[in-house]
Amino acid sequence: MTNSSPPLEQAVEWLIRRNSRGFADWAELTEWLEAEPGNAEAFARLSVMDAEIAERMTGMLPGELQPDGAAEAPLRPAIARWGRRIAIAAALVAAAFALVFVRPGAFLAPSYETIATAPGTRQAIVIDKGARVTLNGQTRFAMERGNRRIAQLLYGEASFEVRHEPSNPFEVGVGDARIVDVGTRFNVRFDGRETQISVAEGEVQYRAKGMTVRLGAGRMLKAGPNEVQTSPVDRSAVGSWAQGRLIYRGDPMATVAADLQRNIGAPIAVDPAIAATPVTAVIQLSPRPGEMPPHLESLLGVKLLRQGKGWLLKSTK
Amino acid sequence: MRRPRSCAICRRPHPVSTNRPSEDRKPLGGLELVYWERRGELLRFLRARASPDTAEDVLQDLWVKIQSVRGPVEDPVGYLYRAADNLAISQHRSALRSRRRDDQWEAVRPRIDPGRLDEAIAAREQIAEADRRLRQLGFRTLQTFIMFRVHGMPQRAIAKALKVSLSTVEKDLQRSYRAIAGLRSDLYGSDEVTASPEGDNDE
Repeated sequence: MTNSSPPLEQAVEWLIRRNSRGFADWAELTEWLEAEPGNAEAFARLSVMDAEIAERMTGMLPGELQPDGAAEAPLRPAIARWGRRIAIAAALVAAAFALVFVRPGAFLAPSYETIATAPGTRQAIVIDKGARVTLNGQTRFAMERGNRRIAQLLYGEASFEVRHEPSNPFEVGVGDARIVDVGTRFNVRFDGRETQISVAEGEVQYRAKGMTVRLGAGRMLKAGPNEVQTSPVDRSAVGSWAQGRLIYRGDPMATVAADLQRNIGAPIAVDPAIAATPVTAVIQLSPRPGEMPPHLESLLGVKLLRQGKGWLLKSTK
Repeated sequence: MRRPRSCAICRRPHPVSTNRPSEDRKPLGGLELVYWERRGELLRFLRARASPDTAEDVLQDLWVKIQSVRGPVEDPVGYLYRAADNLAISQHRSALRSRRRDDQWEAVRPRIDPGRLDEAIAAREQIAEADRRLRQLGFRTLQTFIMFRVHGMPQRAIAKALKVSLSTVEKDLQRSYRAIAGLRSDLYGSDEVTASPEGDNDE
């Protein structure tokens, strides 16, 4: 590198070297930092950005929850309060409350219109003028016949784009929780057990078990049977499957396999030995349905074996 | 056990041992010995990397940090520098954050020209923008960056995995970091920019 180039240009060179494995030129770096007053500042600035971006990618920043009564009060606290009672009440009692206060997706009546997609297929649905949803493959989705803005994701993955209407909010149920939009673009995934909600724009409210969590743009919520946690998410990655791209930051291999199966349409199994292995990768889906993405083995660090009509992801060892 | 003031590696008394924590507790591990041997140059590095006023504190944090390291470290000198560097980055980050609350940035980093303070503060808000620029570089470049920065893969291994040349990996990393820094990357030719067949359709 030349010493005549601006500090930021030199900082780029130094940061790439510093981030390379086995970097040992620390004395030389010290001398460069001391050489010009602007060098240390340029390097500080760039290294902070680099660290923040890398953490966004790995989702390492701690998440936070906002239980009821937190600084940002839920819009309709009554629902959260009733929600807590419903969670412990018998189904019949819950249904009675629900008539007045919530519309429970858990009690799917015949008044719901259900749409199911096969693995490897997609379906776009125009709910109304202000709301659209794209269903990923292997997904079951239901909408109330009288009011299509009340929906339920029964299984799979869907990406939503919703314009907020205060008088007629959009609600999608997942398991026994409700997601209420406040004008937004968001993605929901539900495997029958765990729910994952990512928000690209605007804000949604997640309501379950007496708790309301406000989830803003760039945030993700994971809810299992016993726990709810939020973390940052890359906004451009939200619902990226609809653009033919799968983006992961430390997600378990099993999730990746489930996504591949949903998107490609062939059964994809994972060796249990690597099911929990964290994956950080960007996978470009093939435009041809049923075809595995290129370079999958090196992107995931696995061996890809043919298994019946599908594939098996195995450890390379 | 060797006398604490005499280094087992250099066989000389230590140049600086002012804040050496109490002796006689346990034998020093390899990392601790190297810490005391290299303390002078680590301090010099941190004076330049963090700030002259906080270098001693950061070095003390480093000492505390290595107390909890279990087992041998492959490259102790590299480990200490990297750990010191990470502590300096954390300090810069918290300085940027607290500055927004109570103007502490100036106190922490007096070497920065006050005229450029706003620029430094704006950096915090510019991170999202830098992230977006990075993602616009195309699929292969983003993949290269992730493999390099998140997985810590050597550049040769990335080249092999992506089936591209080593110089392509180098150029992709250049482009990634230039994008993060907000620098123009036309230095490397437009063919590299469009080399990703899909381009990028993020907003």
